[in-house]
Amino acid sequence: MDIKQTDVIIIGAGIAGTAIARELSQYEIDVILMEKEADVSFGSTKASTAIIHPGLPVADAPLKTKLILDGNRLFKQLANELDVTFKKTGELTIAKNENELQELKEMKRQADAIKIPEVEVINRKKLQSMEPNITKEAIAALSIPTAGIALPFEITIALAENASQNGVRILLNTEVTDISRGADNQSLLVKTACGYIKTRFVINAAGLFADQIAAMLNADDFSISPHKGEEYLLDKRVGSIVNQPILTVASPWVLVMPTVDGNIILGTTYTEVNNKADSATTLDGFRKIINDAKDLIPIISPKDIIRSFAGLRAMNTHTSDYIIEASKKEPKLINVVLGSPGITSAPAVAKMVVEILSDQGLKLAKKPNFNPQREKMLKFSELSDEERKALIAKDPRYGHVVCRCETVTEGEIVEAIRRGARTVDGVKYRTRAGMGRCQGGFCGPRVIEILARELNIPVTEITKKGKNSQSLLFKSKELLKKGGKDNNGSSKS
Amino acid sequence: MTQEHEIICTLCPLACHIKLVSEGEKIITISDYGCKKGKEYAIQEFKFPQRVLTTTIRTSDITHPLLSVRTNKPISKKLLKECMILLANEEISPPVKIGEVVISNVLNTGSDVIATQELI
Amino acid sequence: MVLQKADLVVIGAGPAGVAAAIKAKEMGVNNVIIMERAEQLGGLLHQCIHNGFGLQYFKEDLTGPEYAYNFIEKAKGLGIKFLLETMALDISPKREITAVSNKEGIINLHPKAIILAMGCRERTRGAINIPGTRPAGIFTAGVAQRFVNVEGFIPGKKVVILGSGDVGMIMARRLTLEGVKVEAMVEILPYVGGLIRNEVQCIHDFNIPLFLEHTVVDVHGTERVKAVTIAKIDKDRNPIYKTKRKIECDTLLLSVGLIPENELSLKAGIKLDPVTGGPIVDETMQTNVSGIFAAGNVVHVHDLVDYVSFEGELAGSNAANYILSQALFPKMKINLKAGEGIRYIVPSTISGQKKATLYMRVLKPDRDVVVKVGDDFLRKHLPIVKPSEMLKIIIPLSKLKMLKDETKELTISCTKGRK
Repeated sequence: MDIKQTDVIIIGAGIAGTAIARELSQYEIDVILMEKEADVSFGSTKASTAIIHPGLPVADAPLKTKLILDGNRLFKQLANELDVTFKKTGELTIAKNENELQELKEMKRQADAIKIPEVEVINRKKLQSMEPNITKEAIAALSIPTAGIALPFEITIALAENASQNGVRILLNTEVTDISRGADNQSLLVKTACGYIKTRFVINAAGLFADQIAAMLNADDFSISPHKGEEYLLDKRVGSIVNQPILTVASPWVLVMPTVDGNIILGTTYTEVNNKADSATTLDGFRKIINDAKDLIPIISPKDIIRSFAGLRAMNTHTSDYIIEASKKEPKLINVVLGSPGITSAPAVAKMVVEILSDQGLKLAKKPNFNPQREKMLKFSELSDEERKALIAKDPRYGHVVCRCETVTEGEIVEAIRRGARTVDGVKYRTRAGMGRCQGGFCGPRVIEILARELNIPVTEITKKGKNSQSLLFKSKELLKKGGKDNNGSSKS
Repeated sequence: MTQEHEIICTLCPLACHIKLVSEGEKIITISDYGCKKGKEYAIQEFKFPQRVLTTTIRTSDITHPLLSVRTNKPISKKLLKECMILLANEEISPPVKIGEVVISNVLNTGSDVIATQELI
Repeated sequence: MVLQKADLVVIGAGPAGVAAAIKAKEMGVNNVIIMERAEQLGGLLHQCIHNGFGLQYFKEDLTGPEYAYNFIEKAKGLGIKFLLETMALDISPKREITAVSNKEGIINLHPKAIILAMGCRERTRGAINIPGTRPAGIFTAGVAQRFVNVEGFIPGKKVVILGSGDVGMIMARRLTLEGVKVEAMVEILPYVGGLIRNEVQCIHDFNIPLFLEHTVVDVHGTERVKAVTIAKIDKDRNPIYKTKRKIECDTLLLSVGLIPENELSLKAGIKLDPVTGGPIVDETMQTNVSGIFAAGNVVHVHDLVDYVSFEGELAGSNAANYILSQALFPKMKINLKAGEGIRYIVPSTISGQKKATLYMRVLKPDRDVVVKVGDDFLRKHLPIVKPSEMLKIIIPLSKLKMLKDETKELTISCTKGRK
């Protein structure tokens, strides 16, 4: 790497980092986005439910409340520009007794006060007609039509692609190991395995690791406490058993929601853990979520689960609000600590960060040639037979179905690799190959093969998600041959 | 000194647990077998257990990196590992017909390793 | 491309599909097409390089590729058309097929009959809710088998296998022979899931530690699997935490069941049996949709490929009858019902006009049982039954003729007894 200096380094390519990168890419400045993982969205972001929240007031968090509300209003335009899926489904919060109904009414008053449109407390009959599978115990619900759903990794990848298109350099597999103050006192020196880069500003969007980044400059006294959320995904075959996110008054974390792809997500838990790598699902979490989900939608069956996963919310211990500010001790460091929720507010957070940079003296002139549009990847499964014919005639690889559950073709996988996928998960998040009911059982080996071929590297070097996550450790007979390879679980010499 | 062995018969789903008592290499008693064939099986399993080895050999064809093979007769169970190591160092080039002998009289067992696939 | 002249389209070129196509062709159906998504015929048999195939069909002990070869050569000799690397995307209830291939693009077919022979897929981690992290190194046994036997890769060097089905046991031996250490085979049931031959020749022969009534309760490692924790389970299948033990490994293989592959069947409006997960079929292997037949693991998961071939032939001959002269089809008059001790029966209806061959599975392993058809219509003593070994019961026509005309249902049970 031969970059010696830049204007802004953003650390962390999750939803916050990519949204900021994309926002900054419309100005005449040099921006580098650094990510320690092998792909964007590989941290907490990928496990987000990606409900686009309507912006109801969050207790003791005025900034969060404002940015979620603003983000919700910005989301449609963003989704249009990036050509990502955003469905304005609305959301329903269920009340099961008179006390909860009173709470719904209070929530409605708060929503009206900040002008969230069309919020309504609906009765049992209307609820039943909107959500026929809802529990008989539900007596009423708060309906908020401005809520929606999106896909966390799709947005993040799209933001990164658009930022990159507009000149942002994205360095993956690049972990920041130290930050120090430059000798000129006007800059910061960011250290990675590839050496130092001098920058005028650092934006700390490192999520779970934001406290460690801030600590490199002895700058701030917040720390990040990971809060695990487990989620369980149902087979598309169960159909639209709910049409929008279904929430409860009793707990802010319990939910049953559709995904934009037609699965159902059951969630979620909220458990503090002491290890930032602990994204394990648990038997207790599973039982709790199934029970909670069945309390809302009784026909749900654990037999339909095709995948479980867990994400860690990067909650800061300093405040219940977001932290988005130039560090008081080191104003060239801008901390952006969101936690949960993160997706909804991202477009508004990005705009706020631009203002902060401007306040701190960064000159921001608009690029004349900024292109806000990002071209979506073709999805074979969404095309008509006529379109498919034309596409296959042009490129026969679109006639080779690799993932049968989601009908993903070789053409799409090759395109995903062209756009930057380097891992099996990277291909999955861009194409859905491996996201269906067989969970990559059929297409996994072929995706590995295509990655190896396109990247021209050995199959044993293809990873699931970067670093040491190789899927296949040895070539055939390697363990039998005399004087064979090493014994450390790696085939690399 | 006598030794007791339990041999599970695989000849039919009944899976008799046959008891065999031996002294050194000499069989003293056999019991709990369900049929004559089972008794013979137990004697064979005690004296000279044999298995058909099914495995693969590397090929020089990158689109079909492995050729499936087997021994055409059972070989001593004790030789399975040695045979695997021997085959690991082999490589074969097309064409190979199904049933073709790839290695004859492997490890002097009197058994040949034959291809169970075509390699064109 | 529109192939107007398809009389019969068989979806899937595994053992069921190829046997079905051969039979139909032999019976005089003109244009028989097999559609297969892989680049060759034979399905999963190519990766099943072990022996034990063909003892029923060929009276010979063959490996999977050899068994497949016999059928493929025959099919080639008969002039059956093969559409390889072709994926069926949709089948309508009117038997219109839409498929795609890189050579032909979108293919539309409208045959007189269809035989579904898509086989089955493996249950995955998600379906059985194994807690823990999600690192690389977790494979279903069949996927690992493909890597090891066909593609030329060994997933890891220290492996734990969950589930003691046949594929899992076969892989335990296969990996051990390839120099891998199989640290444990873990089975939730109190007995091994697969055939006795495999238990002896794959597990005992190689001294693989077998943990019955245990399950995997945690997976460790963020990048690659580092270890799994197993524990004994109580009678409600809850883990007993004080029995936990952590086993270091780099790979976890899952051999936890197979599910018939019926996404296309559902699109065609075919009714599935909730127990088998496959289409409900009558004695001709016809589904509820006229002219659509099904055979093999797409109907119910078999333990021996020989029976898959027999079932394919049955579907093939009946599809041929359907195409050539629909009038020959007798009415299905008698429902078969799984009674005590029986998990399922295939077919679900019979005509009573010809000998009936019933395939079924019992609920639990037992010795000395009596399988009873109807009240006291037919009884058969069996010295041993196991859920892993399919039962075959034949009701001769002479017996069926003794049934009263108004008989609409026969219940089949399996209970303790000698007579």
